[in-house]
Amino acid sequence: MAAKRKYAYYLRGNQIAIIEEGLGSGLCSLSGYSNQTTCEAAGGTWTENAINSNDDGLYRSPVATVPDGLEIEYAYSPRYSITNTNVTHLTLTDYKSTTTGGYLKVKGGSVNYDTTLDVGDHVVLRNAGQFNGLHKITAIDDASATKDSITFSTKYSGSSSWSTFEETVTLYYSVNSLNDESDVIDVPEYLAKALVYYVKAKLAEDMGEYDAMTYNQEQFRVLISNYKSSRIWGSRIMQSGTHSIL
Amino acid sequence: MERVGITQTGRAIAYIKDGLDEMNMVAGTHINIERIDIVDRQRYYTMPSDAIKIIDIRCKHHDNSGDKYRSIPRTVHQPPTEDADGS
Repeated sequence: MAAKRKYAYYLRGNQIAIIEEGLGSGLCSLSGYSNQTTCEAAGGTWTENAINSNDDGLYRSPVATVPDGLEIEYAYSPRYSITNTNVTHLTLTDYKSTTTGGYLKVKGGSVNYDTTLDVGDHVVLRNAGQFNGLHKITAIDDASATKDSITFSTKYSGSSSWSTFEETVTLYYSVNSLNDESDVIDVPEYLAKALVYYVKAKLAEDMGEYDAMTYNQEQFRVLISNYKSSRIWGSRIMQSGTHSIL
Repeated sequence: MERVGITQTGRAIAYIKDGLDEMNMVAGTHINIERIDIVDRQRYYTMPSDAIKIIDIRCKHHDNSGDKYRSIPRTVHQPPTEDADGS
């Protein structure tokens, strides 16, 4: 049975800081060793348990590796639609920043990506951590095998050495990105009406017609609000909090 | 574009993209879940680049000794002292 842990988070820019409550230095099966490296080097077993008798109640960085330990649920903008979810590559293993320009480059599987992808195509990455989302291909080159690496127009300022993806990345390449009049916007019909009001509001703003802008913005908000509330069934009850002012 | 009365495609698409962002900021119509490894002594984890709004952050084993994911609280203040690794 896995150890019970206690986490919390705070935000730092576009990063999530995960901190864990508990133990100072952990426990070594041998006496006289106060850190994991020296303990294991001496043949001892290092036990990290967030809540135990040594719990000092302080928060610090996570004290143990937990595969798939952090789950982030988020809303994203549907600037693209995946037209066929079965058309994928599951072979990407590594990523890096290009030495010139600092763009995201991925490779893996000794697959010749040139047979299925073209420069200028849009693809969507999932299970790729920070690289999730839509990317545009700018080059397909040789890395470890023929045409097995893809460079995107996405800026990435990380290391220029190959790093390994944590998960099995899914690359969807049957993707319709929003870039011309014939594209389909992947939103419900009702929200498409809200979108019309939003664009009207922006155009009115550009022309300095602030009354029209305000009206259209209000209609946008009303439709979004209606859409949200239409999904909730039953009566609504407002309940005051224990410390509310009556 | 006909309904709005605009003929400039690029401008219309730019506004539509803005509208989709705004819509998801408020209503969250398109949701994704990403799992990342928690690494020993690594505090900072980069958010998915396409994230418009964070709905929830959960951790495995949080307040449970099974393999369940539970929502974790946000701290108002960060720990006053750095870890030994400087994070």
